[in-house]
This record gives sequence, structure tokens and C-alpha cells, in this order.
Amino acid sequence: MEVNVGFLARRRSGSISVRTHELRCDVIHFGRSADSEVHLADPRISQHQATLNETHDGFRFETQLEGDVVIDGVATSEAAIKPGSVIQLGPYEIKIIESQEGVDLSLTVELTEPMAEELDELKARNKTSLDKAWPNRRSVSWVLALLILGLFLAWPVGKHYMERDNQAATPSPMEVVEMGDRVWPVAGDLAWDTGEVSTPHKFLAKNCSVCHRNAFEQVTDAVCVACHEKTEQHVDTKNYPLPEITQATCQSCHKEHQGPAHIVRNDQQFCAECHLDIKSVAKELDLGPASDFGANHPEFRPMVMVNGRTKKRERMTLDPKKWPVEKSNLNFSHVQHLDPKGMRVPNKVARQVMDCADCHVAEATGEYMQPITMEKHCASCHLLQFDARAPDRTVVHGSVELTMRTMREFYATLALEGGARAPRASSSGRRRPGSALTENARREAVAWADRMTAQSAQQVFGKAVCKTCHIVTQKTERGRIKWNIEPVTVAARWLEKGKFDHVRHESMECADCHDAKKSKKATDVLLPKVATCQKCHAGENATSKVASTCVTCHAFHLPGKQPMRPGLVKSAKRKK
Amino acid sequence: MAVTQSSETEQGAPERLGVLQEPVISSGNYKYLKLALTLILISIAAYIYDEPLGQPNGGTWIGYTLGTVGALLIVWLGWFGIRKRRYGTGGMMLQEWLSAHVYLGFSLIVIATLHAGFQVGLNVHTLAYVLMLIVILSGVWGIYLYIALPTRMSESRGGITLDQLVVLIADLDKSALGKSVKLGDDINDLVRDAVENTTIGGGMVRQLSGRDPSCPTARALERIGELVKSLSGGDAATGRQLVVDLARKNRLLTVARLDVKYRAWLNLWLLVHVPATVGLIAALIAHILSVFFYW
Amino acid sequence: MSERYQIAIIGSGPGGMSAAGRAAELGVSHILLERTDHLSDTIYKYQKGKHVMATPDILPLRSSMTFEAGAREAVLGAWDNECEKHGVNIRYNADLTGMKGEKGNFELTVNGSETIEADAVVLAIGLQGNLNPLRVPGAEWEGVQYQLDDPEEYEDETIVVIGAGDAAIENAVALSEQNQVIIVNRRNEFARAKDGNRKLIEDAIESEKLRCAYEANPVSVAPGEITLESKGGQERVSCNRVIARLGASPPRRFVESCGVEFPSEEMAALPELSPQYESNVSGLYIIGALGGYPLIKQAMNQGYEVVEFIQGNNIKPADEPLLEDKFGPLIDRFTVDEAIDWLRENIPLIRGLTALQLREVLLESDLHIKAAGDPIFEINEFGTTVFMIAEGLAHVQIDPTDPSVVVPLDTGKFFGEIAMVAARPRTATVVAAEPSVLLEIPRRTMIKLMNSVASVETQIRDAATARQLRVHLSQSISDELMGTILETAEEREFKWGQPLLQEGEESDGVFVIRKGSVTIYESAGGHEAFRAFAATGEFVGEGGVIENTKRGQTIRAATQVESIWIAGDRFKRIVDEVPDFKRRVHETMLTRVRHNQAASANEAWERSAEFLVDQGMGEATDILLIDETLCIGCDNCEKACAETHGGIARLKRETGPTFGNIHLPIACRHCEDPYCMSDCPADAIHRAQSGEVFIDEKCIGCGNCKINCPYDSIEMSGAPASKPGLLSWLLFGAGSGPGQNQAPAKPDNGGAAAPKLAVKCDSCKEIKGGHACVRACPTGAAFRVSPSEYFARIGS
Repeated sequence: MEVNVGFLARRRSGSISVRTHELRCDVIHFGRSADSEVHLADPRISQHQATLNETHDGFRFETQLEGDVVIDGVATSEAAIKPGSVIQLGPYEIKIIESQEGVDLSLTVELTEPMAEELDELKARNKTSLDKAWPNRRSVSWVLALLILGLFLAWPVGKHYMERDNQAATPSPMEVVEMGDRVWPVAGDLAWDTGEVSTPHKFLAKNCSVCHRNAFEQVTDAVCVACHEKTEQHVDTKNYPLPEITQATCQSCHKEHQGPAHIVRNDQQFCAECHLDIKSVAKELDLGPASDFGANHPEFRPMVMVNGRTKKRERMTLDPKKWPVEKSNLNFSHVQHLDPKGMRVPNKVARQVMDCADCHVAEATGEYMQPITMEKHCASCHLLQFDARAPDRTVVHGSVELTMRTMREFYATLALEGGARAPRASSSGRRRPGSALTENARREAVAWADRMTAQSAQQVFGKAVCKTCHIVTQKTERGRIKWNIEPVTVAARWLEKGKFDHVRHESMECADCHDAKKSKKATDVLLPKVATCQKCHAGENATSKVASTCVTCHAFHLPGKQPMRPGLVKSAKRKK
Repeated sequence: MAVTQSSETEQGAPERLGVLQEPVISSGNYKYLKLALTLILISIAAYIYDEPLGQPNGGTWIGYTLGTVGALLIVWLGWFGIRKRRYGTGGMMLQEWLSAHVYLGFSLIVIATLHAGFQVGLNVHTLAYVLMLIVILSGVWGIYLYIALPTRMSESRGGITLDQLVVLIADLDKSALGKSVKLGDDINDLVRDAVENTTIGGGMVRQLSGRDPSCPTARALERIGELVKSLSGGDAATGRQLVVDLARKNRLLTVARLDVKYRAWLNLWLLVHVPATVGLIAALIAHILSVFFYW
Repeated sequence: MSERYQIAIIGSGPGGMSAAGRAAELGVSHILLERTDHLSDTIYKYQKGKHVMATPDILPLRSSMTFEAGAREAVLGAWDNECEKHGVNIRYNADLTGMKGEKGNFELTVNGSETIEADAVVLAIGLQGNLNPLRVPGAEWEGVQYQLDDPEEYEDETIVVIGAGDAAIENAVALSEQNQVIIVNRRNEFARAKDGNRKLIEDAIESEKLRCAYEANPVSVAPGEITLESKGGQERVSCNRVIARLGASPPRRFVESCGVEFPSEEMAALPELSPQYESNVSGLYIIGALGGYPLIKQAMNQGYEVVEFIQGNNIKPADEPLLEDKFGPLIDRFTVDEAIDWLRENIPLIRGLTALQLREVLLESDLHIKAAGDPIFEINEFGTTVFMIAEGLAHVQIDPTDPSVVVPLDTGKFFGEIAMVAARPRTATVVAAEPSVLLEIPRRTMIKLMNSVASVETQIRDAATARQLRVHLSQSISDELMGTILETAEEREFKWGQPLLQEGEESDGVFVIRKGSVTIYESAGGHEAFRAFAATGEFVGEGGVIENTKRGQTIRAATQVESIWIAGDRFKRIVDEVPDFKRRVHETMLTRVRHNQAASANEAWERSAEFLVDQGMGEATDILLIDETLCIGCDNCEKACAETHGGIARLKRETGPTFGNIHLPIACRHCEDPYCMSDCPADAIHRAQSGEVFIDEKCIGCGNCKINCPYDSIEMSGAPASKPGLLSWLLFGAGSGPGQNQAPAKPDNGGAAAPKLAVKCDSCKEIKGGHACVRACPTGAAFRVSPSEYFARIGS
């Protein structure tokens, strides 16, 4: 067949150039291979892409391998074609056009989708900068910043105000506990916690706004005293309005969020500021200068009973030259009781050896000793007998009257019963038991009982029993002797300003501090001198001794002074 | 010219001179290193000297001082991001700024740690501290890259720019296509694949690794190397030239990808450094405000 | 019977038209002959919308026509109206083909046939001449054009450009931006074009931006098609238009045919004219570009004046007032004309000039009146002007260390020529020793002078030679000795790479480098190994001469080199007779030896130095280098440059050659003798006193400098889009970041973008602290050095 093939080339200007070929062949091959009649030199075309044959009734276009072929808008692999048909063969467009005389078929071939410029394509494909492969720094930064500001600033602040409003006043501890624990992130401000709360305040730890009430305001004393209303002053601020004390806030000494250790201020320097030269602060006081327990601490000055009767006590220095004397109206000799050979004990043959612990027993708190009582500690040996013929009868350790009555009743009973056990009782003539007693006989019996009572009283008060420990005095009223026992006033504590924990010292011997083995009289003040403590203890910077600061023994808030912040207490109360 | 350059890469770079310029680290005869050390020593001395009530932390006067210094430092260090873009201003060379940025940045570790009194916890304050460490460490990493990479980078490029490489590669694509068009479909398809689907760089991983395991060009090169053996006559010749083209393209690709790799690494650390810095500043604001909010 | 006029004016350019306008105003019978069918063809052919400048601004306009800077269209429009208003008698399509006669009876032949008679003729045809038409069948197709108004007008067209001249190249390249361009070159290379343009076109062809048909000629044109003939036979190219750039035939031949004489064969030379613009042919007046006044305003003034002159009223030129205040105080002593004569009297150098030329020169020059002791210029200042002493005495301080050592120069002498000739910094400080009157002439003017007046050139050059020898060798050289030196001294110029002397040659003399720089090689292991570098002011080749040995080294020009060759014996005499020079010679030789050793010890450095010299470092004064062992490719240098220079970076960091770890980014090196300056029509490129080469606002965007710069360091660029503040970018990514630019801003009126102007590195001369690029380099990789500094590094 005679075929006219026109290759169209479109210029950028839009003008079209045509290169025409005449073919004479039976089959037209379309393909990239050089031998094909219609040579389509585009890499996207296969070597033998399609053929066009003449059939009895026209022409047929077929693709060998199913490429993307669209004939007159229909995707197919073969179809009959006639003038006007349009074949989209890959990037090429093949149009069948009307042929002039002598030509069976004419078609135009145009590359309608030329290959893109390799360079542009390559550039378009390449991604050579990280920003293109990754969210850029700006957006990441924004997200991060907003997240942080929102979560750790905006939210907590907002939350703080929300909660503060429905929690009007400083709540009491129990109220706080009832609030229950708050948790992060609901309670945003927990992220602000700067450190562990001190042990006693742990129950507050998760309710920040209980203490931190107002923004940008340090925690106020009102908050503290709301609970600690009873805390008292260090000095009487009326007489001593020291700015260090009156102007200080709770916070200036009590730092919170410092872990369990640090809520109480314990540096000796703090005390030394005043006590190093205490006279300059309060000259009329007889306090000695103190700044360091090891280096600079005055001798102990116990409260000593100077007059048992008037109960007058005085602070006296433990001065070896004139050691204080405790006038407690007690007679007692530690030496006797601690006799290593032991002591005789009623109704027993063996002697009993005693030691301190037999009488001095620590209190439950461990700090001090339980008071000594007759009943607990003495009575087992010191039986209060009054009549040798009736050793099993004793008086009660109590008042003089009671003792007297006890004895009188005893002798009266004897007299009335009569018998041998009541010698020299004149009225005890021979008489049939049960027969009524004569007036005389009764009078004699009473007189006898009185006589016997007086005798025993002489014995009990005047000589043996009471006098052993007590100071007994007598005076005669209308011929009758009146006995009197001076009250015993043993000091509960001599050193009231400092505290001492006996149990913590249990590893030591009592004798290490208390020289009881030599003490014959109860008037001895068996206290160690400060030097004794200083053998083991020294100031807070001590390295080779027990580092002890002021608050180891002394308290800052002293009993008996007025409360720290009276005004605030009220106001805090009012809030409740 | 293109050719000479490409051959240049293939020969490898000529021997190099020593560093002609003073590097950042030693800039100004270690001026800022000295400054930073002084700062550090002063802080440590102050920290040791001070015996605060309670534990040392941001609340003591040393704490406040160190905190202020640290905060100012952070703001100033962050300012570098702006300073380096405010061109033609100020007397100081950017190099000096960078040097100062580096060393004072270091000193921040000490200052901030002392400010915190070695306390950490699960809170915004420690968050700020951690962010700061991230910033500084990423910075250290950056400095390392800045010192290590440039030489390798310029050696691998051997004086050609990435753009030029891309152009060269595109040229090779063109000529490869020109040849493959004359050859069988199998070869031609491979070449087309290589031309149309070869990319330089790509995702994070591709850029950072500097290689493309599934590179169509490499594949084409390998397969066609085999296929051409079966060709004969003129085709054989064309085939061989084609292989040469592909081989060269492959070589250039390696160079280009290596270059992309280095660029990527030189930027990667900034992806950490910068956002972390911004985060840090945010955290710092939160830290300061919160501390005084609950005073 | 042919018509007759008092005045026939040839050419309706600004000059002619203005003359005709004046004549019409005065009612003088006149005719204005215009070859084309419109006024002022030259300007008519400017690119569309081109901004027409009205320089020199100082010069007042004196004409019946108005003229102010503005768009081409506006200017032409105004003129058309005014010619009508004044009733100017114009004849279009009237090509003057011949002229004879003189005052009173001129006979002009128009279009070959008709004749016109005139008493006086004003020749205002300009230098543009007539463009050569395409002489092939079918050339009348309107697709064939000889001018290109606006390259951006055409898109996606196939355009055939015929010609290999600068115009053709510029058009072709401009068009190839968005068209398919075929440039037709009769020869097989672009020999005729400026170097810059040749490079431009060759690059374009290599990069296939356009196609070139070498050794091809157009044979015929048909609408939409042109047929080219080349060795390969005929080729029919279908195209949308043909642009024929076949050059213009210079008018000189024609002018001479009218009997006018030129002073020299120098192509740039101008015909000699009287103060009334009358040529040696009486009654034939020449104005405008042809008379040496290329500027529109000048030409228009002349048009006005020439008519007045012909009318016999001898008005003062329009520049009179300007000159008056140039002369300043002198005016108390003379009138302007007297002053001009007085200057001529006192300054031999300018006696050769015509009054007109002199006025011209004076307009561009400055007259200084200095008191005794006033400094005139300082050593190492950058200045390229020449000073002439009209009266008084000046002292040249030849010893920088001791100002009392001076060379006196009295009335008539000149100085500053060294700097002018070699474009070097001032070599000495000059102060006025007595109250003096000095004439300061700018380099451009001076060069114009030297071209048109031979005497000026020779005098300047001789003086320069002698003085340079003194400056570069020793000031203590006696005049007598200098005389003998000059007898045999020769000026020798060398092309880049050309050897001044070769290893093994006889050591016949010494070269004093007057301009440019040289590199010194030693053959080592079969190749020439770089050893040292010598710049202007140094001398080379002394070794062999002193030691009477053969040349031990080869010395090549590292740039275009101008040198003074001194015979060996003369040189020895200087060494023997001038002690301080003897010392210097030996020091020089010592340092050279040291450098040799250092260089030979370090091959990497040696090779890098060769590389740098190949890259033209030799002619740089201030070159930007990047140490790639430090460069992290952050492009902060580029950004800094852009941000400190109106958004356009003048440096390209990544592009540019690299050797080992030395990278030469594309950035201005502030050449010793800047290519860009060589042909700037607006005189917009200057060298600051501190040495920076910069372009000022006078730039008209012609692009010559870009083409001339061999280092691609000049860009043509419009103003970029304005940016939001840095922070709004940093925080919100608003606008484009530092160094990144959006497309140049279009003016709000939606009109054409502002014209692209030339931008280049100005070494940040305006910026406190200097080079923004260097200061913005975070790692200190970027640094700027002068070649001498750089090459000295190795010695130390």
C-alpha cells in the first residue's frame, strides 16, 4: 500500500514543521527499532510497539505488547481505523487524515508528550536539604515552647487561682488531710515543687496553695501560726523587743522544701549572735556568754531547793568551792544503799546488794527518771512497824493523824479484849467473858490505850521509823505532844533550761556522771559539771567529739513566754 | 570544563595545604576559653565559700546570683541566633561570637549545676536544666562536626558544586538515553528507569546515610554490564559506551550523595540544638516565674 | 531649480533638531534633513521604555526644545510636538549622499538625485552612522529587524540573529533567555567582539542556550523562514523573526569627503573645530557626537548656539557660568576665555588642545587654589586624577619616612600621572609649597585627551617612566644618571602568561614592573615550579645581572604587565652609584632566596600558588578566599552580603574554582586595573581612595561591566522584593529569610520592573568594620588578602 507519513514538529512559537515520507509496504511497523517503517525514536516506545495492516475492509491497528494505546478515545490493543481516527501511542499521537489521489493512507505522527528535560526532572526529584525531609526547626521549636509554657506555666497558674477561690482560709491539718492528694498533671503546680517537704509537713506536700496562698508573695507567718498558734517566743518581747526576733518571719529560720532534715535551724552561729555577748542584749540577766558548747559554754546552773519548807529554789552554779546544797527535807544516803556488801532486809537472812536502777527507772520518753516513791522504792524494806509485840502491824505511809488513829485503834482493841496481851491494864480483873464491863474498867482501858499510843508515837516519830528519812518536829499542846513531818521536796529537774536524754546515754555508767557512791546525804547535788559533758561533746564543728549544737540541749521557743504572733493567731482563727 | 571537573573528582583531590585560618576553637588565642574558665572558677569559689541556711540551692544569695548570671548567659547565647543574622553590624567578627558562644555555653554547665546545688527532681526546674544540657551537648556535637566534616566534604567534592554534579549527571542521562534508544527494550527500560527514578538525597535516612540501596542507576549498571556481553557489532560498541556512561554517572552519584550526606550532618545537629534552645528559653521563663509565683 | 536655504541641518538628532528649532524660532530659513521617517533615530532605537539620562546634571539646557531625563517615549513625544509647534521645516527620508562647496554656496545632494543649496551647513549626524541593511531577497519582510528594543518582549520564538559583532551577541544572548536563538556568524569565531562578549556567546553556545551557525550566510528570506548557506549546503530555518546586526559604517569617511580634517588617525579622534563649532571648511559646522559631544544635552545646546553663531551673534557658550564658578577666585583676574588662554599659556601639556576641547576638559576637571602647605594628596591614597600646576610650586615628598626630602615641581609641571597610568595608589605625598593654582583632570578625560592629542600621550608617558623609575628604584637617582638610563630604557608590555625572561637566557637587563604582577618559576623535576610573586613597583631579573650569570629563573606575567626594561649596565650603575638602592637590591635578593627555599619546601603551597595565579590572583588587590578545611557551607557570607547590600548578594560562595582546600568564590577581587571600569558609558564605576572598586547610582544598566568582568563578579539585578523584619521571619517565617530573595519587586503601578542595574562587591566600604562576608563567617574560613600578603605568608 501507498502510505504518506508526516512527522509533525511543533516549534515553541507554535508553528508546525512537517517532514513527509512516502512508504510502500504491506505492514507498517511502529517502533523504536531503526528498521520499523514508522520510526518512533522515543525511549518510552518499545522496539516493535505496533503494526498497521491493510485488511479487506480498511485498516487495522494492533499493538504487539499491550502498551498504553488509545484509539479514538478507547483504550484497546487493536482496532479498525479510518481517516479521522486518532491513535494515542505512548507519547505519540497518530492521526489518520484524508489522503489525496494515489495514496491509500496518510497519517501524521506527532510527539505530543516530549520527554521532560532530564536536568529539570532530576532537580525536581532530588531532596538535598534536611529541611525538606524533616519538619523545620521553626515549627518544632514553636510546638516545644508552647507545650512547655502551657503545661508548666499557664496551666499551673490557672489551676492555682481556680483552687484558691474555693478554699477560703488556711485549712486545719485535718481539713488538709481530707482534701486528699492531688496528682500531676491535673494539679499542674506540682511540677513546680522545688524539693522534698520536711517530715512533719509531708501531709501538706501535695497541696501547694495551702501555704502558697498569694502569687509572688512569700509564705506568710499567718499560714504557719494557723497551726502553730501555741508556739511561744524566745524572749519576752515586751522587755526585749529585739529586731532579730520581732522582725523575723517564720521563714527566716524555717526553710521548707529542703528535705526532712533542714526545717529547724540548728546552727550555733544563730544563737551565738546574741549569746556570745548576751550582756549587751540584756545586761540585767545573769546569763553567761555562750557560742560553742565545746569552746565557750558557761558552767551548769541547776535550780536548787534552798528552803524545803518555803519551797524556795535558786539557780546556782556548780562551783566546787561552794557546791550547791539541796534542802529537800529528806534524809538519804546513797552510800548506805549502794553498800557493796549489801543491806539487811526484814525477814530475810541474806543481805541484798542494790544498784541505781533499783530505784531510778527511766520514764517512758526515756529522757528523765521516774519520780522515787516510798511505796514503790522504799516500802519493801522500810516496814512502818510500831509495836514490837505485833511486828505484822504497820502504819500507812501518809499523814500524822492517820498514823496516830491507826495505833490508837489498835491499842483500844487490845484493851477491850483484855487478856494477857494487855498487861498492866488495871481493869482486866477476872471476869466471865461476855459479862458487861464496868464504868471503871472502861475508863481504865481507854487510858491504857492512850498511854500505849503515846509510847509508840514516841517510838515511831521520835526515834526509829519516820525519822529515818524524814525531819520530824514535835510541840506540846495542853500536855499532848503534836508530831509534825517536814514535807520532802526533791527536785524533779535541776537543769530546766536544757534537756538530757538518759536512755541515749545508757551505754554509759551512771557513775560516769553522778558521783553517788560517795554521797552520804540527800542534800548532795549529784550533777556532773559541764566539763563532764564536754569530755564527749563539743561545738557543731567538732570533729573528734560529738558535734553538738545549741539546739541539741536547748529549745528556741521557750515555754512561759507569749505566743509568737498573737495578732496573727487571732486572724488565722478568724479565717477558720 | 565540566569534563575536567568530573575527571578532577575521579582523580581525587590534590594534596592540601594546612589550615590557612585560625579555627574557631583557638580564636583570639583562646580568649573566650580563658573568660569561661575564670567565670567557672569564680562560681565554684563563691559556691564553696557560701554556707547558706539549709541546703545550697537557687534560694540562697549565691543561688540567686548564679541563677541571674546563668539566665542572662542563656539569653545572650540564644541571641547568637539573631546576631549571626544581623549582618554588617557590630565590630566583632562572627567567628569571635561563635567562639564565645561555645566556651561560655560550656561554662553554663557548671554555673547552672551550682545554681541548682546539685539538686534534681521531677519538676520544671530540672526540665530546664535537662534541656540546657541537651542544648549544650548538641552544641558540642555540632562543634565536632564543624571541625571534622568540612575537610572530608571538600575532599570528596574535589571542587565541584552539587549543582554542577547534578548537571553532569543530567548530561550523562541524556547521552545514556541517546545510546539506549538504539538498543533492545530490556536495556532501554533499565536505562529509562535509571534516568527517571534515580534520585540524590531523599528522606532523612537516605540523606544521612549518603547512599541509596535501591539506586536504579546501580541496578542498571549491573544488569546492563551483563546484557551488553550478548550484543554484537555496532550495538556492542554502543552498549559498551552506555556502560561507561552509567559507570561514570554512578561514580558522580556517589560523590553527590556523599556531599548531601555531609550537608545533612552539618544541619542535623541544629535540628536538635535550635528547638531545644527555644524550649529551654520557654522552660526558663516557666522556671523563673514559678519560683517567684510560689515564693 | 533647486531650493535654497540659509541653514541646512543634517541629522535630526538632539543637536540637529535643537538647531532647527532655534532657526525656526528666529524665523531663519532652514531645512532639517532626516534620513529616516522619524526624529532622532538613535534615541528612537533605544530599547523600549529605556530611561534616557540628562547628564551632565550641572550643565544647564539651552535650547528651543525641552529635554529632561525620562522614558524614551516621553522624550521623543515632547520633541515631536515642539518641532510642530515651532514649525520646523523637516524633510524625512532625506539621505545626504554628497556635499561640496563652502560658506555661502554649499550644494547638498539628497537621495543621490535632488540638490539643495545652503549658505551654511550644520552637520549633526552623530557617530551612530547608518546601520547596514540585510541585502538579500525578501529582506523587506517585516520580520526582519535591525534593532532590538526589548528582548523580554519575545517569548518562545525562533529568532535568527545575523552578525558576530557586540550588538549581535548581546541581542542573541539576551533573547536566548526565553527564545530559540540561532546566531549566524560569517566566520568560524567571534573575533570582532569585545572579549567579554566573546566569552558570553561562547559560553552560551557551549551550554546550548543558543545555536550558532558558523561560516554561514543568509541567502534569502521569506516570511517565517530564512535560508542560510554554509559549508554543509543550504538550510531552511523556519523562524519568527530575523534580527540583522550587520554593524554601522562609521561617518568619518563621509565627513572627510566633505573636506573636514581630523587631527589623528586614532579612530576615536575628533575633527578640529573652532570655538564656534566651525570646521576647517568655512561655513560647515559640526555639532553633537561627531563634534565630540556625545551627551544629548550638550548636543542640544550646541544646536542652539551654532544657529546663533551663524546669525553672527557670538553668544557665550552655555557652560560659561559653569566654567566661571570652576575658576572661582580666578574670575576676579580674568574672563573665562582669558582664563582658558592663561591655562594654555602656563601648562605646556594642554597647549595642543582646541579651545572647545579645553572647555570640555575643564568642565570635567577641577581647579584647586591651594595655600602654601596645603596637602594635595597623600601617599597610598587611591586616586587616578592628574594634577597640573597652572601657577605656583608643589613639593613631592619622595621619602615616606622623612617629609623634608622633596622634589619641587613648578608652574607647568604635572604630577599624579603614575597613579593614572598604572591605576595604582599614589606613590608619594604632594603638598603645595607656595600658593598654587592646580588643575585636576580625571582619568577618563585624560585618556580621551591622550587619544586625541598625541603630544599629551608621549609627554605623560615619558614623565611617568622617569618618575616611576625614581619611585620604584630610588629617588636619589641623579638627573644625569636618569638621562642615561632613559636612553636605553624601554617600555615593554606582556600578555598574561607571556615570559618576561626565560631560564638560561642572557641576563641583559632588569624589568621594573610598572603595572600588573609577575610570577617567578624555577624548573624543578621537569616542570616550572612556582617560586615567588612580584607586584607593581618591584623589579625582577636583577639576580643574573648583578652576578653576571644566565637567567636562573623564568618570569611570567601574572596579569597584563607593563614594565620598564633597563639595560643591565645601567642597572649596575644605579647599584654602584646609589648606596641606598644597593642595600635594597640585596635585601630583595635575600627575601627572594628565602621564599624560594620556603616554596620549594612546600609543594602543596607551590601548586596552590600556581593555581591562584592561573585564577588571576595576580591582578587582584583584595581577594576573597575560603579555607575549605573550615568552611561548613552555611552560606552566611552570601547572606551577609545580600543583607548588607539591598538584598542582592555580590558573592557566590559555592561556585568558583577550588584547589585542595583553597576555594575562590565568585566575588570581586578589586583588580589593580579593573576590567569593569574600562568601558562604562555613565562613568559610574570608581575606585575609592581606600581601593574599593564600586558602582555608583549613575549606573544605567548597560551591562558592559558585567560582560567585561572575566570573573563573573558583576550581576545585573533589579531591586528585590522588600522584606519584613528579621524577627518576623525568624519567628513566623514571614517573607524570605536572610540571603533568600523573592522575585524583584514590580512597581505598584504595575508597569515594567525597575531597570536591572549592575551590582558588585564594594568591599563593604560603607560598612563599619568592613567586609560583611568575612565578619559573618562563623568559622573564620573566609578571609580577604592581597596577593602580596598571601604570597608573603609562605616566606614567613
